Amino acid sequence: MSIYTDYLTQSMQNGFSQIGQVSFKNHHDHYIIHHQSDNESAISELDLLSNEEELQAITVWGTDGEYRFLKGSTTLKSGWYYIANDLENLVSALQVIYPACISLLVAHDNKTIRSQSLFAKLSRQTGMYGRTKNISQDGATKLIAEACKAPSCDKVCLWTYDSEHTQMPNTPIAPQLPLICQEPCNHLVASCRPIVKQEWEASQAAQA
Amino acid sequence: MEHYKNKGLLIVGHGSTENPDSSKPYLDHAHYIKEQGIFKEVHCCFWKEEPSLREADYLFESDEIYVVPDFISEGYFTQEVIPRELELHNRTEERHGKTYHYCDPVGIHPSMTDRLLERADKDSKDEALENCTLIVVGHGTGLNKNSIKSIQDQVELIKKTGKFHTVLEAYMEQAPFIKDWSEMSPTQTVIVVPFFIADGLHSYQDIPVMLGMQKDEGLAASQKSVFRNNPYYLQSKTLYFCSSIGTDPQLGEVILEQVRHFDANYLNKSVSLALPV
Repeated sequence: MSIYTDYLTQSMQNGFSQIGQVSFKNHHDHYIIHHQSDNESAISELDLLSNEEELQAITVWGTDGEYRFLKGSTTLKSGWYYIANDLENLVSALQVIYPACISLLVAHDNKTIRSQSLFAKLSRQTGMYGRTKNISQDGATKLIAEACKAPSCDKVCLWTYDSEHTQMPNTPIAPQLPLICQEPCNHLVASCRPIVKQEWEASQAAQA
Repeated sequence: MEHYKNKGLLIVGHGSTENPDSSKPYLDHAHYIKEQGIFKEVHCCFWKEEPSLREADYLFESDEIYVVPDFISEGYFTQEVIPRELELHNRTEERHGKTYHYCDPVGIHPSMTDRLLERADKDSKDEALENCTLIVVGHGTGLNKNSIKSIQDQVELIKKTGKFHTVLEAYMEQAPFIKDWSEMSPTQTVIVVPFFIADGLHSYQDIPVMLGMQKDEGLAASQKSVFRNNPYYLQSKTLYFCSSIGTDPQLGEVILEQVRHFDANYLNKSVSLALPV
């Protein structure tokens, strides 16, 4: 047993059976994971994924045909199931689909999670991302509103442009465990670059 | 190896928001090491994918974690980005209740020579290596001298084995350029090994275009067959183009070597990472 399996056991006892787009349930002496849209499907209609490599492969391409580099994207394919032999295997499988998902929930529960605002994150960037710290609050707020929502990413942010929190804005309600975003991802940082460039060009044009 | 039973191993990779094959080698290396049951926990984290370096902290129950950058060279990422993101200033550092040991990147370990020799030998089928030119190709950049040092070191080490007629270094973005492969090779048969961890845009697309093997197709690595069509007959020479060195699952052994190297050279010593100010 680990802090992660303890957390999941407790969560299941409290009625939680979904995380992101995935459902999980105890079945005899093992656990079954599948897409939540397949909740009503007979298991015989689904494809068995026999190991974590196959499970990982299902997360790579989305239902829209695009590469799912953001695992919080709501484009996870359906039509499969996976059998976890024990709780440890269940934690591992869920974290293959949603990296660090249970670890972050445990840290949140233990009050050891640390958060960082977008501005703080941009301020420590160097190299090609060094100039992203110049993004305006307006530009950043619009970007967050556009990028940090489904279908792009359905995680619960613990941060905004200029503030950070260690508590989720809403208490999770069974059966859905949330996916936590503890600080802005590097995709968001990269997305700031063209906005900074546009803002700079606009300011240059205004001065001309 | 009992020494590591209660410890964690964190493999740090680059990852990509464009190339779906980019993280596979790192996951393969982690799987290779997990299977051996040496460490209590083995996890990967990425600069461009998930879990991120900043999420890596939460993955471990272990109090002591070895961090191995699964990178080819020392440079911007291993000396600046990874320590910054993991909040490390010294080789060994305690933070947030855990002890981190920051190891050298895989690409600079001497055992990489064996991996290169094996890759070239295997992919060139029945060619007599003593009649071949081996070109180890990397990215190259004028921004960091260290980025090509690991390739130069490997070229010198392979030369000393005497297995090849000629051993050369070449780069995408600095001289000697890989596009000049035919002119620089004195032999009829040439073997090119990309010194990258993943088969990404560079090894599947950019370098094949520079070699004259194909036009820019824009497909993902796993959707191409560039490594399955060896040999190529180009510019009156026979060319074997190998998969990136990092796609060898045995690179997991090099990761373990870097952990042992850390214990032998840095453990219980106060060594600063000398990060850029």
